[in-house]
Amino acid sequence: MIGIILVSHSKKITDGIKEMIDEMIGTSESVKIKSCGGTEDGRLGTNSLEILKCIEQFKEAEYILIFSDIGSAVLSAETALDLIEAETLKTKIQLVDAPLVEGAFAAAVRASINSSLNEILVEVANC
Amino acid sequence: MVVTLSKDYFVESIKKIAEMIEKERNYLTKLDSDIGDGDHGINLSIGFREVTKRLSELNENTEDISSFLKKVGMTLLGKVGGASGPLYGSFFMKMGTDVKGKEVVTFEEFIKMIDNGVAAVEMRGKAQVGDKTMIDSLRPGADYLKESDPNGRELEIFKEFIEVLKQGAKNTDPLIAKKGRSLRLGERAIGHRDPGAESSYLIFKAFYESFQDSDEKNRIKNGESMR
Repeated sequence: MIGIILVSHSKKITDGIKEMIDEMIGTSESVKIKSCGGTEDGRLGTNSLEILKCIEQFKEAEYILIFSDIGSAVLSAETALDLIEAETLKTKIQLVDAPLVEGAFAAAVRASINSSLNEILVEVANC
Repeated sequence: MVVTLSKDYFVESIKKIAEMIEKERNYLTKLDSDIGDGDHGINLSIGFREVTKRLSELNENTEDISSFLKKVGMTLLGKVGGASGPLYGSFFMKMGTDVKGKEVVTFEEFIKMIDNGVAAVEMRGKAQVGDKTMIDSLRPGADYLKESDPNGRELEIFKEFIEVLKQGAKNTDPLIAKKGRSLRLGERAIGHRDPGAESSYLIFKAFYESFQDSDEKNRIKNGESMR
């Protein structure tokens, strides 16, 4: 299974993307999506500790791809990565530099048909 | 006499920072409204209110300065929301890397702690002096401390350090931003101070005021006359 984490200042954005992707991939066992937008108290913002939590919930995943949009979404994702203590978990993670909507969508659809990580990343790079 | 800073000093400094943020909240938010998303003061206030709420717990549940500061940083990470969350969060978390296990540090160790914290902000934000970010005040400040000879002049050096930070923040006024939200504003950012550079100065000003307090207490304790 491949885990995809969506990070944005806005929860509406990440919830919306998750909804779009879920509609396309259905209940695929080979890819799971987590929406990690906004702060825990419902403001605009990002939260490294929440991203870390999502990463840990994906610890059984083969790979974890993190897509973030602008500004501190990227900073918070990088900080979350720094907080991981288990090296094996760390090596599974890839912070993907791609447009959030198109990139995550392309990666999820590719992952749902059991593509390799490399195939997924090539598809994403073409977004 | 070697000047030392106890864990209590850091706890008191965090308290002072939180008070300062409350006082300056609207000012920082105004700076950020001019060239950013207008939440800097509010975000820092939400973060430091949470730190204040948990301060005695954070103090009691940590053995040394390093783990106390790490907990402060983690609390900011979880609450702040904007870029200042990971930036100041990383700052406090990395500040104590070299002094693990210590309940007291020397002024020289304190200088190294500040440098480590600033390096963490540089690493996280990938910013340099001139990019119109908090690094414009933090880096010259940390360099000033590193090059200074504080022996016996700690309080003065600390004061001069604050002046360097203040000037660094001022220096962001005429700059075009190369990082952060104001990046795409181009010349529109000219004439506006970077809110992060200003809050960095204010945070260390609070550290300085707390240092003045502890210095005074030490002098009274040692029977010296107050200056």
